[in-house]
Amino acid sequence: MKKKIYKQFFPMLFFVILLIYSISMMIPMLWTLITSFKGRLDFNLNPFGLPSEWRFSNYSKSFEVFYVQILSDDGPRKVYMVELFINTILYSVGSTLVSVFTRCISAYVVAKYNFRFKQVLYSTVIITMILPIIGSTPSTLQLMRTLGLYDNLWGIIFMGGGFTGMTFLIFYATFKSISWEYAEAAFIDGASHAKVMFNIMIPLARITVLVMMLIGFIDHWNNYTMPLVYMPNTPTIAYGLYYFQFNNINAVSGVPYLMAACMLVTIPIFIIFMIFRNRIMGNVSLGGLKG
Amino acid sequence: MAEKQETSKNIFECIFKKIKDTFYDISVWLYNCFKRFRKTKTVSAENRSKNIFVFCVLVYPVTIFIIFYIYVNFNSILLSLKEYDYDTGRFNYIGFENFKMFFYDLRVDYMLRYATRNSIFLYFFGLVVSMPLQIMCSFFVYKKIPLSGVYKVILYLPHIISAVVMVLMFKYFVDRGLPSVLKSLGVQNVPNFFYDLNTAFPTLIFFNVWMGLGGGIILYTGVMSRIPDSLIEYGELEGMTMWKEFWHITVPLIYPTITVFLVTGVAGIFTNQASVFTFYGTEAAQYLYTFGYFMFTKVVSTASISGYPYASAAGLIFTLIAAPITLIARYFFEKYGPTAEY
Amino acid sequence: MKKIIAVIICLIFSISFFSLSACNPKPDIILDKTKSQLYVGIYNGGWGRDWLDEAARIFEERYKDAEFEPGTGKKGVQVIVTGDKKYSQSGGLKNTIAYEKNDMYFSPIRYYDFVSLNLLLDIDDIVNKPLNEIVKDCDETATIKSKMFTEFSDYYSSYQNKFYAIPLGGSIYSINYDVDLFDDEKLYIGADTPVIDSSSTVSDIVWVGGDGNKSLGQDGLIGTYDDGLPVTWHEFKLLMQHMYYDKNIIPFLWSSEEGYTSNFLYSLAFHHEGKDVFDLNITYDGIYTFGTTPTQITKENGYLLQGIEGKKRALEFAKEIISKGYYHEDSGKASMDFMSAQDEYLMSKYKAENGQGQRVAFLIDGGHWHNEARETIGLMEEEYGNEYKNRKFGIMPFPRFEGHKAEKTTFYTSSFTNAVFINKLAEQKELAKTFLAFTTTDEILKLCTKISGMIRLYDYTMEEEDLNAMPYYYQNIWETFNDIDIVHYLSTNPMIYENQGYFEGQWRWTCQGSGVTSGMSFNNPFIDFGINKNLTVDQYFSALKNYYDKTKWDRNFNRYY
Repeated sequence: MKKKIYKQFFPMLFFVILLIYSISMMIPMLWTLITSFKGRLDFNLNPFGLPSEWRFSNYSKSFEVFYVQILSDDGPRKVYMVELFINTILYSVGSTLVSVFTRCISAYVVAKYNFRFKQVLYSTVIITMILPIIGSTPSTLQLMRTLGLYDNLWGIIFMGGGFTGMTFLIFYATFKSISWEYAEAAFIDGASHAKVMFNIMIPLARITVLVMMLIGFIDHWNNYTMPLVYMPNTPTIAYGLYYFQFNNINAVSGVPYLMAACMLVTIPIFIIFMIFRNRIMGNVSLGGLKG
Repeated sequence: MAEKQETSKNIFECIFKKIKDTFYDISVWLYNCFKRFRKTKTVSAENRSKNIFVFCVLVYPVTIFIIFYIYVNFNSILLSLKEYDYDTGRFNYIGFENFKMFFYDLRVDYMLRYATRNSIFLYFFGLVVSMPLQIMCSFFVYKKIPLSGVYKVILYLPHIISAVVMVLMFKYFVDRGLPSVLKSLGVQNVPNFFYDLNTAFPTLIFFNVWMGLGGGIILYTGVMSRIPDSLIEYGELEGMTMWKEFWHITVPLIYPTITVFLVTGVAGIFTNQASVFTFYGTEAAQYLYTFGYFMFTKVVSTASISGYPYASAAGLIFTLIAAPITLIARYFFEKYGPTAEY
Repeated sequence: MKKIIAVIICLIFSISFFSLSACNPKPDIILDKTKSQLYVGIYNGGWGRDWLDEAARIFEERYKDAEFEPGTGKKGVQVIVTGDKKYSQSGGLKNTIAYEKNDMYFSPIRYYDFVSLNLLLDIDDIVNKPLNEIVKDCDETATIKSKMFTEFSDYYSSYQNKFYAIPLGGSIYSINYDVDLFDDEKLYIGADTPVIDSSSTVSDIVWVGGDGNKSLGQDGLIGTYDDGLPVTWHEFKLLMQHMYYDKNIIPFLWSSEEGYTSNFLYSLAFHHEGKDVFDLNITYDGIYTFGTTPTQITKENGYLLQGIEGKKRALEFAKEIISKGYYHEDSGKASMDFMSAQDEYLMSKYKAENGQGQRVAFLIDGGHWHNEARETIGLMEEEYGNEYKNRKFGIMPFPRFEGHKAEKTTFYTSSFTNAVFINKLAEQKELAKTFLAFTTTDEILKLCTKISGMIRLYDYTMEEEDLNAMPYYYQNIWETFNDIDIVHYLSTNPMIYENQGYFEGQWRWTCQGSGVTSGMSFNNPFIDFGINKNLTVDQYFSALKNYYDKTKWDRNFNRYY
């Protein structure tokens, strides 16, 4: 009898913990949603209750006013939400693919092969995570300029192809825990190194790849400093939100409009997330070799 | 006619062969370059192809690193030995002055003492509370307790929603919502959560844990799902309880990932800002300082160019302390932890 | 299945990419190829950009037949104004200015950082020429330099003895009070009040309303904006007491915004001491009397200036308000940012009238708050009717403490880093210079004040009719700027400009405790008195003096002496 209760206890405990956590996450979300329908004065009078008047116009107004002003060569132009979205998707997807891919293959090589610089590379990754670089923006900008990569989507994507960062370390750990036997079997069959990597090892780690891509995608999506500095004429949603929040656009200042804008920005990515969630959250079970 | 075609075909073949030969020559030359760095042993064809493979894989990432990190930052690393001269607009060498100033501040200022205390506390708190919580929660989500599908979505919400919203929500709920709830429960003297001595740092920790829980769970769940079903079935056949399964199968198999976080956590002592800037701007009280925040204030917003050398020196000192500790930590974690391959 | 999804994603990706690069969306403002273009960037903070837009239109109209690019046949000018907070020191402008398209900027910068990096265009010739020689249809013979407030002309011409930028205007943080409230609730000190000394009580004062017979106020003149307002600190305390206990009004409200309250209290300190004492902080050459001992202040003992009496008075001010609870309970909380504070202040009238809260009398904010809050003001007028139209606000003079030394009303501010400057790599250098001079003509200076309320740091007068048409608050600001001393850390002394962040930052109120208060650290009097109920003014003041001692001072500054 005791054993049965014991067996049920821990799952129940964590179920409750997660439930509390989820509620603590949902209540603020709900509050954000409700606030986005309030008028500015209403919000001041009543920050936590229901709106006295549901202002759907907050959304349409925010959508209209949500733009970034850029100075392209043809003239000044306002970049509105749809275009900001497209820019952000291109930037996020491109950057994520390149950066995750390079780190994945670098980590694979460092984890599974022995060569002279192996330890140096690993230590470099650790060191670069700690060492803060002060005042490097001017020289980076200058370099980008000379290489013709400035203000260019390809430039910023190209720049992300290093091997440093947390992603590398996680891939390293993943590949370290994959048995080399798979590869040896393939070598006996006459496969080349490249074939082993692409057709066997990476698929074995595909869940990690997908998780890192998801995390990378979200990070790039929310990053506004990089596009702001390195491609100012292709603004992204994150910069749009930052601009919206801190610039005194007087027609729509105040918390409710900000909430409405945030909702507008979140909903598309939430939809994408919901569509692909099974794929990317590791609900796919592992195949591979038996035994 | 046919002859001409044949000769043109021959020429084409010749050229093609020449190109192939040139590439082969280049690859041999490259291989010879790398020969210097390799241990002297008989080079078999297999080794050579391995080395070429490694080279090809690493060439793009390492080149990017060299260009965009080493080349660009070379000046910045030397910055710590310089000071800014407003008359010429250049940085001039002054030797180790900045380092001396930094060590002096370290001795005298409470700011850095608080930063040390806070940053180390954050790490151990994460180690003892945050990480186990995340792993256990992930385990149960992985085991598909009721509503785990829903949990997975909700847990990742903080990352999808912009940080702007999360921070604003937190501020309003803690500043206004919580006190009114506490007052209605009859609590006197509701503290000013973000500023009172006893509650400010805990509030910050809570925010960090609250925001970070979801991301950690997603990662761990992903890693756990790589565990082969065959092992689980074996465990069930043997009559393993959930607890035993957790300790003897799950944890060892995800140990490498845990190691990554333990090790980078050590590095994070020196770089993690813990959201101090988000809530307090550049004017946080001294007892809330973390190393990351200290570096941040030295460099960002109001600091002008003349402050860069000092910040650079401080950063370098942190790195010289943190890097060896991190590598040692990694050595210990990898040596004394369970290892498993699958 | 996976492959199909991957292929679809790739397709969407490539289609979006090509469609984006292929189609060129039409620009909002069509560049007129027959005209020259001038790109102007402005930091659109509290003062807004409306005045600049208006000035740009006037400029375009006036110069529509002028040729700025001889030989190309282009006539006229098109001014394109972009407002963004990234055009500032804190927005990273010094990294991006060389790559930005804007020819000139109206934004806050650290002047020395920019000139030493060789980023600004030399405008010495324009600043020293009479305006009628530069600007069309202008009949002023004065030069920009002669119109500039002298505090600034030295600073902006100190680098290589040439001007590389000119001042714009900024905000002074002060006590903003609700004039309507004072009118209605009779909070003015009447002229019939007997002389108030330290033993007077609230009932000794004759309180009058807006149309009553008010006392002379601080300037000693009748009919000015400070009539009926408290002169001394004791009077001010009595006013707060009267408000809080008799009228159920909350005196103070402030936001948690960086620097607002710290600068406010620092300004209060120099209101007490005056410009001459502040100059000691910059020149380190003069005498200050600590108590009864006159001490020669030099660069070596500059740290002694933490012990000036003004700072103690400012601490007393903060302690009084915090210990007596004369403030809104949400003041300074993390969720009370500047916009929320303004909303709360404005809405307190509505809340008081509907039994949902108490009215707030004072808001600690910069002079730009009224412009910044115009959305809320407009909404309130719309929703709550005529009673909320044309509300009157004013700037309350700082109370005078015992031993008040300043000769003239003195304000400290760190916000006059707002400057007008031209990018060294600008395409249209001459055009930019002309526009720069144009915005300094009397006509545009007046326009700026009329539209935004910002006082430009030049000598100019406002027309009566313009003044009467402006909101009451703007008129009040204009009056306040009459005959005052403005002190700031824009100095040509290398010890100051190389350490501006230090003096404008931690030097104000940051310190560590010692003796009784050892182990504590302080940052902002309002916050620190609030969380340490037992902290006294003397303890905080001693902590300040002890923290900034000789060793620390030498460490930081011995390379200057």
